[in-house]
Amino acid sequence: MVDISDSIKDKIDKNVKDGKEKQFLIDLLECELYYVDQEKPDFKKDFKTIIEQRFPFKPKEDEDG
Amino acid sequence: MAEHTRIVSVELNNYRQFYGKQKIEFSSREEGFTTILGENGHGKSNLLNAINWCFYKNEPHGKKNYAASSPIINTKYLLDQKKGASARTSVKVTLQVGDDLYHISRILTIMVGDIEYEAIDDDTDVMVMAKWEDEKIPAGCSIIDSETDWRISKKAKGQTDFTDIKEDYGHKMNQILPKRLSVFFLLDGEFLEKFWDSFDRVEEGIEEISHLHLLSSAEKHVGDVGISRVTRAGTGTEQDNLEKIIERNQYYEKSLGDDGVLQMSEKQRWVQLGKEETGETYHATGTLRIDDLEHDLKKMRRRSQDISREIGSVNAASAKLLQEQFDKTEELLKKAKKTKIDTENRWRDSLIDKSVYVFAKTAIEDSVKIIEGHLEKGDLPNETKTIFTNDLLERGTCICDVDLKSKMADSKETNKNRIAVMKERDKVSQDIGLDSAVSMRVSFRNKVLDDYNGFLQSNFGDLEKMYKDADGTENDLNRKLKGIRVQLGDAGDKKIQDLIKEQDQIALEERAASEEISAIKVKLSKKSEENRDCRQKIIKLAGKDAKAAKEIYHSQIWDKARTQLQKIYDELKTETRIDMQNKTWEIFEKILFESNEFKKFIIKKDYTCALPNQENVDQIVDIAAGQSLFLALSFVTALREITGYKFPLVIDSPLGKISSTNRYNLAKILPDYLKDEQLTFLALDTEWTGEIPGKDKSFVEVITEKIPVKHFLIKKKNGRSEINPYNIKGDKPNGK
Repeated sequence: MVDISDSIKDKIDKNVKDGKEKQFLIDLLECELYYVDQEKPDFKKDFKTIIEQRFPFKPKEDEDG
Repeated sequence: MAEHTRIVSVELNNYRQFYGKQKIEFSSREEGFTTILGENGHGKSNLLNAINWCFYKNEPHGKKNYAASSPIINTKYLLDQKKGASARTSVKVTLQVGDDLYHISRILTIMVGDIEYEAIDDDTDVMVMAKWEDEKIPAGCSIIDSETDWRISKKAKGQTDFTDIKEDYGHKMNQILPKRLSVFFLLDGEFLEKFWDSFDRVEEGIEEISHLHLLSSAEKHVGDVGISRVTRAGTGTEQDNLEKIIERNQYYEKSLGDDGVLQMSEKQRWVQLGKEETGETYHATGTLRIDDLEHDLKKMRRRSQDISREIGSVNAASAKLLQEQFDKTEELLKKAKKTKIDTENRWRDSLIDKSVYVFAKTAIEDSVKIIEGHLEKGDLPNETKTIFTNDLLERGTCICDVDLKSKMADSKETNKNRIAVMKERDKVSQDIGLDSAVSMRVSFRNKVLDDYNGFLQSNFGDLEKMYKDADGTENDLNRKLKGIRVQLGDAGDKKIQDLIKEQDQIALEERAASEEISAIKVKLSKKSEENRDCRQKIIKLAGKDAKAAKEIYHSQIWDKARTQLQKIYDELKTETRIDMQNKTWEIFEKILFESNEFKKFIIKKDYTCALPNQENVDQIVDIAAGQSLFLALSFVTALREITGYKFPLVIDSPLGKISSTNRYNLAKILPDYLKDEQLTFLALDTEWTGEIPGKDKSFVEVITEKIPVKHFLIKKKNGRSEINPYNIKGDKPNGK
């Protein structure tokens, strides 16, 4: 079955050192794969979900408190 | 890596010209090739259309208006159905993807009504087609929705039955073979023939198959998400200003005005000289303006290339035509000159020879009268007198009985009478007086006096006219030749000058667009840097405002992701382009059997291509049909090899357009072409089985030396096409 091409995965590996960032990009690209031939994909909603999952914000109160 | 896919079978039911149920079971690559033979119009292209219709509900192959002008349901079958009955067409494609089998089937069922016809001439009525939902069906009929369906079912390895897949069918189909890529796998003859007419296919192929479009689309979407205004982190002029800077920079990049609305400039988009302006304008700023400029740059470069070719062809075509005229006229002029000289000589000779008759006409008339007076008196011409005397001497007796016999003594004649007659004879024979006069009289009468006007006309008038005509022809041809010579020098000059002017103008516009792109890129880079600085400052200002800090935190991640995607896209695009260029050239060279005709194959940054020959003249559009086909196949093969995409190829091969040598070469290389992939060919029977001129073998005979071929024949009888297995000479039994 069609997947994100190996060449893109290799490039991500080469250019992105952080594992979380790598997975974040793969997630985004998988969304794009799903959007193929969709006229108006709801990417804002999907991307927001992905960033919340991969990079949940941790307030700095702990440091200050 | 994508899994290997192969077409197991295609089943048609009353689809277009295919009447009833028709099924083709395809060979796997291990079993050999599958070839479907058929005459033009019997349904080869519609086999490709059937697969496309089944997968995507479109029919892109063959005649342009075919789909709109005739029903998709077989007409004979349709007309056999009574009004109120249902009529159904379906296509089912069975695929093997990895170890799993898939049925993809599309069914269209209509209710037969009062089918409408319209007269297109005095004795021809054609069926009227009407749009029903998004299908074209015969007017007067309607679609039965409950019996119209598209379905994908799967039988995984180890399972006994097919079950409908749970995923969205459209999504699954796109995973198997995206619609936009189908043209690179279901290859029709026209697509292959015209592959290099537009480099859009090169761009589509590389961008789509290597998934570059995923990167560019993700980068764009990330940019759109990241543009969301940062929630106010606090108060204060400094933060306001920083946010405003970020916003302004983002708006610049997205070509948005201060109000966040898309801004267009007033500058009209580039259009080719002489073509109507579209009214479209460039985006005002940022990446969208770069996209516009790059798009138009490509069009400009393409037009510039076309102009170069046009200049060559205008010059060549005009010059060739004029040269032909020149050669022809020059030949005629040579003949005219010769005719003129001949007639001039004859006229001059005639003047010299015959003028005397004119000057001495009175004397001649008097002489003739005198001669005729003598003849009337009974004078014999001397020639007659000589003959008569010789007769007497031979007989030995004169008419007066005097002895004239020869009496010789000491080798001398002693008969005095004989001696006297002989002397008289010799004297007469010396005198040609009356003899000449008689012959002159005949000549004068015949040539001059009997038809004096005729004499003047034939000896002077006619010859003078002939000479003057020849002189006139020579002058006319000289003038014509001079005119052609002038035209030949100016061949196509006016048009060429216009084309050069247009090309120069394009070069200026190209330079301006390129410079503008570079300037915008520099500006964008600075703005991006500025935004990073601003965000750092805002973070410091935001302090403990958790919501604001979160948004700033995420916006930094979006920024970073975007930069990464952009970098990956740029690197991958360059690598893929170069890989494609080299791989295509490597395959093409192999197909051409190391021919030295071309130097290399180039795919430029903007995806335009070049195929320079040894003299560095680009031949990409001017190559022979066979070479163009080879290059297109090489490109498609390179795409597959580089991207690992594994859908089989179905090739509607335009063999008839290929020279015998290239056809032979193609047959030689095909068995080794894409060795792990299933290959299917659609071909004309005569092109496939007929002897290749000068090679003593048919196309299929050369192929079957290395690999078996399973054949099917589409045969049309009474307007109905049927597909049946077919054995031809050179076939291995059942293709095995």
